[in-house]
Formats: sequence, C-alpha cells, structure tokens
Amino acid sequence: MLFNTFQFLVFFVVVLTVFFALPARWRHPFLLAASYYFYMCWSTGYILVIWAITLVDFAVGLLIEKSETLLSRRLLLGGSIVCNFGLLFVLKYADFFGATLNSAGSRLGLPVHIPALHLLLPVGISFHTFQAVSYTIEVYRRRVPAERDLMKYALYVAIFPQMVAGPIERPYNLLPQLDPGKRVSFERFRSGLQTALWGLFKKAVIADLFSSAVAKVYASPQRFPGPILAIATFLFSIQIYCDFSGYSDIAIGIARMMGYDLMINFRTPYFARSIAEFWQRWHISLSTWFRDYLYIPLGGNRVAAARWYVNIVIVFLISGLWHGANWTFVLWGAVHGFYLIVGAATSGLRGRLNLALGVVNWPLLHRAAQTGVTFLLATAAWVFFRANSARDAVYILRHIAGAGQFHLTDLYGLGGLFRFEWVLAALLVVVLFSVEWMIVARPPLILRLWSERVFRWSAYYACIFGIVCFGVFSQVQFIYFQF
Amino acid sequence: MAAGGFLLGFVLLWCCFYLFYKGFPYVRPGADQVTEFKLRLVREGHPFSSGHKRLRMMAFGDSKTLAGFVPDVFERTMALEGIAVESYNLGLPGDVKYVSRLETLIARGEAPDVALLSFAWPDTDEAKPDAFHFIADDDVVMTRIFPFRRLPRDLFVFAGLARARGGALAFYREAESILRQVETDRGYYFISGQSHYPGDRLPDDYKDADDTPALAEVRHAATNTETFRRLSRELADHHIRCVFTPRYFREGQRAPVPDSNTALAATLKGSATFTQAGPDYYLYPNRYFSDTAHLNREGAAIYTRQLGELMAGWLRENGKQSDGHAF
Repeated sequence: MLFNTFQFLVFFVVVLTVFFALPARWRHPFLLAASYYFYMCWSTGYILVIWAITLVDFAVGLLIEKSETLLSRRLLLGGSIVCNFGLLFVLKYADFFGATLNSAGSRLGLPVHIPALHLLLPVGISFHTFQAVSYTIEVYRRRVPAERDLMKYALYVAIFPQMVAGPIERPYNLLPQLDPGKRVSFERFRSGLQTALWGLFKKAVIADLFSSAVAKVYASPQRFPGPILAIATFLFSIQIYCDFSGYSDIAIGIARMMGYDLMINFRTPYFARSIAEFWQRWHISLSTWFRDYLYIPLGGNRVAAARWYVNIVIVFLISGLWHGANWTFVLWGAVHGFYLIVGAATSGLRGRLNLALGVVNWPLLHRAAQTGVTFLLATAAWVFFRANSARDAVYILRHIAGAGQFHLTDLYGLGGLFRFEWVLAALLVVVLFSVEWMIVARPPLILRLWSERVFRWSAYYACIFGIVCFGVFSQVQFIYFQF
Repeated sequence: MAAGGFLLGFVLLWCCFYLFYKGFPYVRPGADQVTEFKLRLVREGHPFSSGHKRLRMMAFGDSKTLAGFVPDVFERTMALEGIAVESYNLGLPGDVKYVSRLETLIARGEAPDVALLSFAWPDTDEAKPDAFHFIADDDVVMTRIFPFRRLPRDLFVFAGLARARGGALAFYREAESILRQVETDRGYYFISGQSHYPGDRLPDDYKDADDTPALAEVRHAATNTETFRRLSRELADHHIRCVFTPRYFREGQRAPVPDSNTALAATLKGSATFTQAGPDYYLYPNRYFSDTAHLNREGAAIYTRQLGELMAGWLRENGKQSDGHAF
C-alpha cells in the first residue's frame, strides 16, 4: 500500500478515527494490527519475516540484559546480528553474490555454479532489519533497558508510517513514545498534516512527473545526446530527493498526527557545502546508523589518517550495498567515499588557496560555489545509483558533457513529457529550491509568513490543488521501497 | 471555526474550477473530447445506422486506429470489391482495454458483425479487488472527485495552439466543431495537436530515438486468460468474428514483418471467433505521418484502402462462419 494512493487514504482515515476513538490501552494493540495489515498489503507471506525478527530480537534483548558476563552478552549480540543480517543476506544478497561468484568462476575457468534462489524481496527489509539491530546493540550497550512488553516491541519494529522505508528509528527515541496514555494536540495534528501534505506534493507532483523521462533515458542512454543525458541526470537528482524526502515527510507527518515523533531524515541536503555536510543532511537516519554502529566502532577519525580513510571506504561501500544488490550501488558508495577522502585530504590546501585568492572576502559567492560544486558532485554520483549497469553509468559520464545534436524540441514527448510538462517541471524546480533556500537562509521570514493566515491557507490550497491538478496517480513506487 | 472556514474556501475553489470546466468544455484537447464522445456512444449511442442490412465492422484500438481508420474510405473500397459494409472507428487514445467496450456493445445489441483488432487483450486478467487491494485505479478516482484536474494543462495547451489558429475565440469554435466532424466521420479523428511540421508531414529524413529499424514488433495473444475465455464465449454466442488486422509504423521505425504472423496464427488455430488477416503491420514513408506515431489524412486514406482490400479478400474466403451463419 503506497502512501500516495486512495487505498492508503481510506486506510489511514479509518485507522486514525478508530485510534482516537479507542481507550488509550487499546490503541497500541490496534495500531500493531493495523501495521501488520499495512505490511500484508505488500506481501502477505513475508509478515512471517517480521514476526521472526521481532521474536528473536525481543528474546535476545531480554537475555542480554540478564547476562552478567561480557562474553555471553557479546555472544547474544553476535547471534542477533547473524540472525538479522543472515536473513537479509539470504533474501536480498544471495543471488547477487552467487551470480558474482559464478561469473568470476567462469572467467577463471573454475566449475562454480551456485544456483539462484529467485526469492521475492520483502518490502523494506533493509529498514526494519537495521531498526531491529539498533535495538539489540543499544540494549547491549546498556543505553536502553530491554523491553518487557512484546506488543510494544513489536510495534517498535512494525509501526506502519516508517515500516517500509524508514526513517530508521532508534529505540531510545521511539520506544518511550509507545507507552499508553500518550496524548496528541491539535497543533501537533496540524503540523503533522502540513508535513505529510508537503511530502505528498514532492512525491506525487515533482518526483513522479520526472520519473518517466528519467526512466526513458536511463533505459538506453546510448540513444541520447549529451544534453539530454545531463537533463535526465539533473532530473533524477531532484526526483530521488523528492521521492525519498517526500516519503519521509509523509511518514513523519502521519506519525505526528497520531502523536509520535520520528527522526528527521532530510535537512535540505542540496544546500550542503561539502559532501561531508551532504551526508549530515541526506538520509540522516541511515547515515547516523552507520556512524553509530559501524564507523565509530571501527575507530572513526580518531585513528591514523590511512586507517581513517579505510574506515570511510568500508562504511560507504557497505552503505552502497545496503541500497541494493548490484555493483552500481557499490560504485555509488565508493564514489562518495572517494569524495570524502579527497575532501579531507585537500581541506588544508583548499583553505590556503581560498585565502590566497581572497575568496573568503566574498562569503556569499564562496558559499554559492561550494553549494554548486557539492550539488554537481552528488548529481554525478547519482549516475551510478540510477544506471542499469556500471557500463551504462560510465557511458553516461563520458558523454554527459558532450554537445551532440540537440534541439529543445527533442525534449517534447520524452517519457510522455510535452511542452506543458517541461514548463511545469522548470517551475517546480524553482518552487522546490526557493522553499528550501528560505528554510536554509531565511527561517524567520518563513515563520513570519506562516503566521499569516492568508499566506498559510494559500499555501495549503496551492499544495492541495497542485497535487490534484499535476499529481501523478498511476501508483508510481517510492524508489527506496526496493531497499 | 478556522477548519470550517478552510473547508468552505476549499469547496468554493472546487466550485469555481468545476464551473469553469463545465462552462468551457472545448478548451480540452480534441483527443479527450473524442474519448468522452465515444465512451458515451458505447454506453448509450447507436454506432450503426443501417440495422443489419450491411455487414457491420468496427475497428478497435488506440490512437493509431483513431487516426488511421477512415470508415468512408473503407466502405468505398469494400464497395468496389462488391461488399456492402457499414463501419465505425472506435479507436481511443491510449486504449488497451477495449474488451469491456466490446462487451457493453454486445449487451446493448450494438455490436459489430466483425471486430477489427489492432492488438490483443492484456496478457493477464485484471486483479480482482480483495481485502488487501480494494482500489485499483487512483487516477479514475481522482478524476471522479476532481473532474477539472486537467484544466491547467488544457488551458496551457489551448493558449499555445490558439495563437497559431487565429486567436482564442476562433480556436475555441474550431474545437467545438471537432465532435461534429468525428460524428460525421464515424469515429475517425485526425490528430493535429501533435503535428509540428508544415503540411502535417513528417520530414523525409526524420528519425526518432525510439526507432528500432532492426527489430520487429510482433503481436501475440494470451489465450490462457479468463478475459479471453469470457470474450470467446460471448462472441460465439452472438456470431461475432474478431480479426487481427495490421497496424502501421514509419519505414525505419520497425523492421519489416512477413505477410503473416505464424506464431499468432498457431495460437488462434482452432478458435471459431478469432483469426488474423495480413501481417502485423504495414510500413509507410514519413510523409504519410503527421507526427512520429500517427498518420496524416493522406496516409490514413492509403492505410484504410489497404485494409479494405485485405478485408475484402478475407471476407471472400471466410464468408460464412463455422456454424454456417452468414455474415
């Protein structure tokens, strides 16, 4: 069940109504049942995977807390990690690694043949696996007590707004909110509705408008000249941001309407001034997960420079692989790791160069240049993320700057986008960046405008009728659902 | 109080949009008007006027059929071959679900004797609603609640085209006349809105990124679906034949195909109601196209004549059905 469907609207209205009508002690059992129903709309059988993860980690949490020796706690944590990641590996990565080994074997002339399992990937498995693992790690670290209420823990794993594509919650944030008796206020309800509405606008109007043209070009990039490859890549960088941040906003918004605060997942990432800052603003719940549970345990940056770079590479290669069982994702992660290492290694040099050139005397220009370069670097890396193969990605990057034979009218009809849609697309990009720029640079102005009812209502109406008139309602999947 | 005011404002805006939409129906693209007209015809109209005095033939398909099959030309061609036919073009833009329309026509007693099909029904049956999937098509629901939702786009396109067509008023009147023309032409509609070339002719050297000159687009038909079984029963009960007739592409857009699709013929072998006539498609030079996909008037006449000659030959060979019932 996608957030941008009428089925979800009906589901959510019913859930919300019953949720508020029920006495406090019945709300969470009801919410858990609703969450399971929500998941079963995707894949009925794979609810068993959710139940397995829930039961294993609930039991392991209790056992870790009871254990008195470090060794037994470590063994229990290791068992939990093996169970969770083992399941993830079998369901998501087994065929990928099998095919890779088969291919390597045939090149080396070795008789390797690992049969493919062809398992259907459970939706959102990477998200709820990571969320479950974060619970056992935090219990192991004694940052949170083991949860004794199975129903409450089950809801932590499966609460429907963030079940299939995050934000990847932490136990110390979400579990305390699952105590009965939590009240909601009209203000929170309204704020949640606003966030969800803006998220739906980004998804249904912007991301889904761009998706067909991007898909068309990336399906066979060799057929298109450089300018169209560049336009499609730019559109994809907007599409993926609006798609995923739109999903996150809807999740955060509907959770807030019911009284739960989920983690912020995006903070205007395309206004970051470096790739390091980009990762503090993009998919925050995942990047902080890797920071807390992988990067810091590896030593983080409190090690020799060479080891630090290795840590960065490890984190980003695994982060790439987390996104999908394909070498293109690994390459995407590697490119970001490379950016970060180059950024760290040249930091001093760039500072001295800026001083020598006097760039620091033009702070606005300096910031704009940094933002522009970061956006270009992130966009170039998206090529690996979106391309069907590494070969396609390399082709696109080699030809993206080429002039080729191109007329503006070549865009008409591309992916079903005609003159109107292109004008709309340009307008939407301006609207998106203007709103984000105001959030970054003029927060008091936004607050002042937002306090004016005329402005607020106009924004609501524009958003609603924008979704109605320009939204795509052909059930376009959220990109991150596949992860 | 504030929420009530907001809702009232929403309702007022809805009403404004709706009144504008209803008040100026001809700002919509011709294709939308034609679709609405044809769907109404299927529900409550009479596509054939001669009763059963002449053989009734109806072309089903998408916008290629809409802009390619000219009933007048088809009937004249058949008449030259000595066959009295009454025909109708039920092609609809983007349509791949003609089966339900054919079934409606059968139920209303308005079905043709021969249905000309450009392509087969979908490979899989439509999923039936269940507890986990109870709304199938959000676009339909959205359009029911907000029928004016395409208005901004329509106004933009209308304004763009109006400049080249003598101004808004003149273009509005021209658009108003479209339906009368489609009614006169019995469903045929020349798609001028996508034609950006002088004389509605695609340049001879035009090539499209989607062209696959070495690749044929071969038709197939899924005969293991409930849709096929149900349709077969209904067609047999009403003595209706369905004939797969050739579509069309530009030369260079697809590879040439043989005169007959042997795989499709094998699939349909033994079926009393479904058959094919001619190749999967014809190829025509660019000059017969008004845009990358659709024929211009000259091209449509040539294509229809070729279809007429093909169907005349087919009728001579298949004048009676297997049960002896004459067409």
